[in-house]
Amino acid sequence: MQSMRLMATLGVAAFASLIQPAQAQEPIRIGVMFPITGPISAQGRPERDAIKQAFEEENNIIAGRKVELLYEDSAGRPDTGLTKVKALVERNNVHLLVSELVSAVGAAVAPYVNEQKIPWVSTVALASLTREMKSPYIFRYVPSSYQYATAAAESAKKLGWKKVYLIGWNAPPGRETHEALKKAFGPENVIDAMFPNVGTSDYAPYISKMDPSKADGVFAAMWGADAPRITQQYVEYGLSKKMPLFGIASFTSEELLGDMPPESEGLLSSYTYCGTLDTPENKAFVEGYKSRYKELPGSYQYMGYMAAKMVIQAIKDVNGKVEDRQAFTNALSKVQVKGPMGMTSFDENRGMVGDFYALKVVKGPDGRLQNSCGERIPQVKDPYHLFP
Amino acid sequence: MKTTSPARMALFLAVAAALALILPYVLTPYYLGLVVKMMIFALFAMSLDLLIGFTGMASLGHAAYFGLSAYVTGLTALTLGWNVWLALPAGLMASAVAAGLFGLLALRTRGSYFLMITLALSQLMWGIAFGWRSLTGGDDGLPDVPRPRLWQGYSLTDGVSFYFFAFGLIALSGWLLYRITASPFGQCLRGIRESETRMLALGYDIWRYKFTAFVLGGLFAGLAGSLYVYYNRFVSPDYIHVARSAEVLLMVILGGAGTLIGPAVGAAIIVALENVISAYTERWVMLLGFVYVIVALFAPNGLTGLIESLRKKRAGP
Repeated sequence: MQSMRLMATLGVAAFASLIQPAQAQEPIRIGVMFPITGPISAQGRPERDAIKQAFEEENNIIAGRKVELLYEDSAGRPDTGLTKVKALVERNNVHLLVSELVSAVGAAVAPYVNEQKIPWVSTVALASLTREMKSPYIFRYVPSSYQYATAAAESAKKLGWKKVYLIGWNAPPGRETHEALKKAFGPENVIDAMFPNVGTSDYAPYISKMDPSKADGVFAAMWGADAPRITQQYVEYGLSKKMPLFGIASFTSEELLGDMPPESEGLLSSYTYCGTLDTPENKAFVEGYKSRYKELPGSYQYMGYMAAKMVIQAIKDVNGKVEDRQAFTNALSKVQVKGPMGMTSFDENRGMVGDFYALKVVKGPDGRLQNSCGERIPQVKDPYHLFP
Repeated sequence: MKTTSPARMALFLAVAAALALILPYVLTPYYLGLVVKMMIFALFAMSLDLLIGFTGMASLGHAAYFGLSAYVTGLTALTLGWNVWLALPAGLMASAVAAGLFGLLALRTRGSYFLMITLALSQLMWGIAFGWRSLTGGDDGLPDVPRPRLWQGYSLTDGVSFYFFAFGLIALSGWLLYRITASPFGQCLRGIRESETRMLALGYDIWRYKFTAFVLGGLFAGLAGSLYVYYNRFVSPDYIHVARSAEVLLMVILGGAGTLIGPAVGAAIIVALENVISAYTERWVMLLGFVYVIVALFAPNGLTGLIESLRKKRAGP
């Protein structure tokens, strides 16, 4: 009798062990922190929205596990951002982070993330994230300043540029662009480099110093509201006809084109996102974003979307087991995703690698300015050999 | 002047001390970290209260001393490898010297002119921190400041020991500030707040009193800044920015200027709002704005002023 009962118990136990895997799994928690308030919110909010879009395209279920996005607001301030990341990691126990675009916040967060061993895909264009501060847990899905400036210089060289001017923000990306241009053209061929402060309203003192007889073109390394402003003034001075303006990185991003003067047709750039590129993946991205948020996505949205896409693929590769951080970061560093702009991946220091396009601002069929996608520059990598 | 009986005061202190000792063992590391942040900003707000609430000098550049001390402590710890006993006093010294120099300039003015010159001086400091890239790291600041090292081979690596370290220093500072404001010197500052000309007529050298208060305020703000570097383990120009000066000013006003405890409570409330509410709604800044409007309309003397007037009402005329 006793043994019968034992047998029955064992039987039940065996049966129970069989159905165990069907038990509901804990959702994958992903921390999504961006500047939602403050001066950078105009970029942070849409980028966060594009990340949301990428996960919605998967119906928020990846490898059979539900995905939960936890949002926080860094306000673009480093100490606020660090406290919020601590909240996501220590209070909400997120498995990974897809967060941030402000470089000062990135610099503040990086040592903490490395110490806590939390996989973090950032869109912070901070070159040091894949250099002095590199960590197996830190991924940067955005070109570094050296990367996009070197690509821009190569692109301009193909147009026959030999001598150039630079006008750039008096901030790390502006200064690092200067370094890259000096390497690419030779220090003596950068005729003059000027560094107005972020948010300068009058560029006349700088523009009037530029002499079209001395150089082939002008590079502009400034973004946000400053990009249309300098373009406007550059056009007003009549310089755009004599000496083309070449915007670095997201200078001609879609959300800024609306503020550019009609005469900015012909404005050049070279970047990893071109809004009008005719690929099925880009159409799906643009249409998906437009139907959700009623506007065209630009390069910030693209970075967020792709950072999420890389993470989604890596989660699939490890079959949803994000708890094994070693395996997950290994998978993430090997991920290859065909995105709107073609194949893209991470390099050996976990920086972004992807195709760039030579861009030119033209009038679209609806009379509005848009980027036309020129020559493809395949698989642009962070130039570690030039800037170790 | 209201008076508190010594027995009640002792009871209050005993409860506060017991609470402070229990906290690290009941809170999760994240919330304990938030408590440390509240305490640091409480000290920062109390140091400003010495100027605004007690002496009547509304400064909009108090973050200058907070930030300068933070930079000096961060830099000496990072590049020279100094331990806490060297890096922290170096920061305090720097902020006291800066407060002394700025005081020489700023104290020639009063009212809105004082507000403007303190603002200008602090933005000057911000400009230096932002522009001197080779030393300060510019916009990105100085990341990876080492943990506070007490002596060779022993650093405060965990949250609990740092909590006690910060709590000890902040409690000591709070007590010192209380003693300062309760002393004849503090009474004299109150006199200056009420009427400078009368104090002058009574034969007080008011400039000397104001100068001392100004430097003391800078010194305690500097301690808060240095602790904040060790807490965050980085420093950036954001520490000195006018937004931070305004933030601490709001903490003082929210809690009630001239009470010390009020600004400390105001600091705790703002830090809590900023970090707890923002997880639920992205409109947390708006909510913070509502709080300010409500306080300005219904409690112009801050929360402590509100409590005081309610108590008076209950006690009857």
